[in-house]
Amino acid sequence: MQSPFLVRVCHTLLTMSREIIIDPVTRVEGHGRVTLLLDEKNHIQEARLHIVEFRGFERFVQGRPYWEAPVLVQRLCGICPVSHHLCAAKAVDEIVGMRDETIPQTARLMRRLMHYGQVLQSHALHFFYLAAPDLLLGIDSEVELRNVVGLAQAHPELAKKGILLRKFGQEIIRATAGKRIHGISAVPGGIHKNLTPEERDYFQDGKEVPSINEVIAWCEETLAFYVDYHLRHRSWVDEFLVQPMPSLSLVGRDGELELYHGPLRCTSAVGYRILDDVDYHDYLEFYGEEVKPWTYLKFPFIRSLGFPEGSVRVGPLARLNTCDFIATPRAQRALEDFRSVNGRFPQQTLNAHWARLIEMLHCAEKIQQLLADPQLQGAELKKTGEFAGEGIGFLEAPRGTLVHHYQAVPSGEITRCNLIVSTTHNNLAMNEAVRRVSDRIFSYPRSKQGDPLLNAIEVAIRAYDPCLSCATHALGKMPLAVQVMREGELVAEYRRGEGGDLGDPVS
Amino acid sequence: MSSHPSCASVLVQGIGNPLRGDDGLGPALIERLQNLWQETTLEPTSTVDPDSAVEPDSTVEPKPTFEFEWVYQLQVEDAERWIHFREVVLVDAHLRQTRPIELRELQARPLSGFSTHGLEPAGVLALAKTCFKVVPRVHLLSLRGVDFTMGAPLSGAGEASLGAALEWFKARWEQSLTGPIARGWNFASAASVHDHIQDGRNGAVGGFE
Repeated sequence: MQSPFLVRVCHTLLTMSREIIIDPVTRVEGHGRVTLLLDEKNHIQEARLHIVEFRGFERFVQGRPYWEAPVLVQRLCGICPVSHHLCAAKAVDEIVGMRDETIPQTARLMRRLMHYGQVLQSHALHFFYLAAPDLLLGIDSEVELRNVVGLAQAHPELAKKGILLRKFGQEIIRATAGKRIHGISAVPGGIHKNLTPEERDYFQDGKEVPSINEVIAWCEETLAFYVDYHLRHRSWVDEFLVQPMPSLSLVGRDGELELYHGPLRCTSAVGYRILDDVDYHDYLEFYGEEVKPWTYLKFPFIRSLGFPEGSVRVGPLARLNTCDFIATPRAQRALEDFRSVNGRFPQQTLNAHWARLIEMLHCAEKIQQLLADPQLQGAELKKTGEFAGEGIGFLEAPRGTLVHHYQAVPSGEITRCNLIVSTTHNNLAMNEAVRRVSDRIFSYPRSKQGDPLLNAIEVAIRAYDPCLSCATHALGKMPLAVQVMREGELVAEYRRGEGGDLGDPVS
Repeated sequence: MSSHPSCASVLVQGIGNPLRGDDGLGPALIERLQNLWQETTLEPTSTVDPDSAVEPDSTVEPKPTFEFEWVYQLQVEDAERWIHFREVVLVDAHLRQTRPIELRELQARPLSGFSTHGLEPAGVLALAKTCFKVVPRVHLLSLRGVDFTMGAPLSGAGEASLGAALEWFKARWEQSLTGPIARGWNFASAASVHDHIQDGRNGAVGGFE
């Protein structure tokens, strides 16, 4: 169980070592491990969020035909496969001589519909399942209740709507991608299918799934519920963690919030344009990547600012900071409320939750608009041009900017692949979040350094909704290992047994 | 609160990632079962003759039908999906069991403190109970796996587990589709695996221990 486990680790480590390891970070996708390096005064010298496993996908894709990439790369992640599917599709469009602007309109709209469904379901999952238990039940509430089941007991209608919102998004994916997971719909230069009138009606009539009108109403209810919470706990939310840093995202041609395609904008913490709506195809000119020996996850940064100053934040909060407005009316009103409370360029990390719910509403509005567009029933689905051999795709995935870059030879084999995922973009921001929160925690008296405070570290990480992409979850796979280190030597190791029980120390 | 809806269908849900060696046991079994189900000559026959004036026999169950799917991990929406089935059989790889296959019924219970985006089966059940006031009957069929390396094929032990699971499914189908089944009968039951082992009907692995 988490509480005695973490308390035991905390106390054990404080008495035994200058290094504290929390493994895994709970309720993030995959398995995270945190190592805190203390100095002689018990201040946090450095925080390291480890990525446990090297996925090797960039090498895995090499040698495969480029037209397989949109299907293959979905296996990167069980939570956001659609983002990888669509980002890869945008890149392979270019390999076959097309761009987002030149593929058939029906294909473009179908892909967008799929993307909005994906972001909606992902944001719903994050809020109801990962974030809300901490926020609505309190990070110091009983650990056995501080999860989605506890949330359902305290707020059953809210939890039920959360499940149905998630289901609605999944059904949009199923209708557009062909399957609920691992869709096969996006192909080089277009799409595999259109949306039939029956499929459109399925989302509009509310007979089998909630109608899109209900979904919009529920998104607004959820947003109102959160805003009420935020305003009642404003000082805690605002003061929990403030991280002034640049925000990076795609924006629309007119500066609006844009999740699928557009120029790239990077804005400083006070609003200065570091990248002023540049073409993302030039990203290698302004991106740098720092490598650390203790993690496989790279640290991208904006080259003109250097490392670490050029490290950026991506995701919902970054997107609301970079965009000028939102082109759907309800979400625009919500953005105005957000800015009236938090300012134009808020840097409070927990504001990501409010931003995420505004985006969820925006996605629902976009889905409503698209369902009413008869071009979704169009017949022209695919178009290809002259083989170009290289393609770059940028996309705003739920967690932030996603990059897929491929090179291929005329016979079709991929010769080079570069992937920068949202969690990689946020790498430094997450490490810095852990360091700041931890430093505050470990300056408290030891009697107050229990589970609720350790969970605060996780609250900071979860605000970024990191996707650590470990889809292995076999029973008894022992995703939990606790290591106690003293001056580089392992002095104890704990493993979690099946079903969440903490087993006996194995050494 | 109802124990299950009045429908005859069984959802068989495989969990895992086919790119990760034996983690793909759940998806692999689903694929084999789908093929087997399409090829089966054991057409479910109704125990009720629609043209008959005779009242339906209340002592027998209607013949089960099956749906198959595989997922990376369980999610909150599975709570809503499960409530539409009479029974749910989950299939997942298990690293630490010694037998090729094991079956156990799951009960709704609070989540443990540790979780990722994936949800424990017992947590999904708890959500179904809390949000939808329905508790479906859920069994977990676990298959022994040993190698979860990225890009690895199924191991020998994994293949053996897969064979054992297939044999168990075939035996249960044979029983459920060819003869009358008594009221209260369930497709999955721990005893069925035990009987299967005792009968030695699993030639694929030459024993379960």
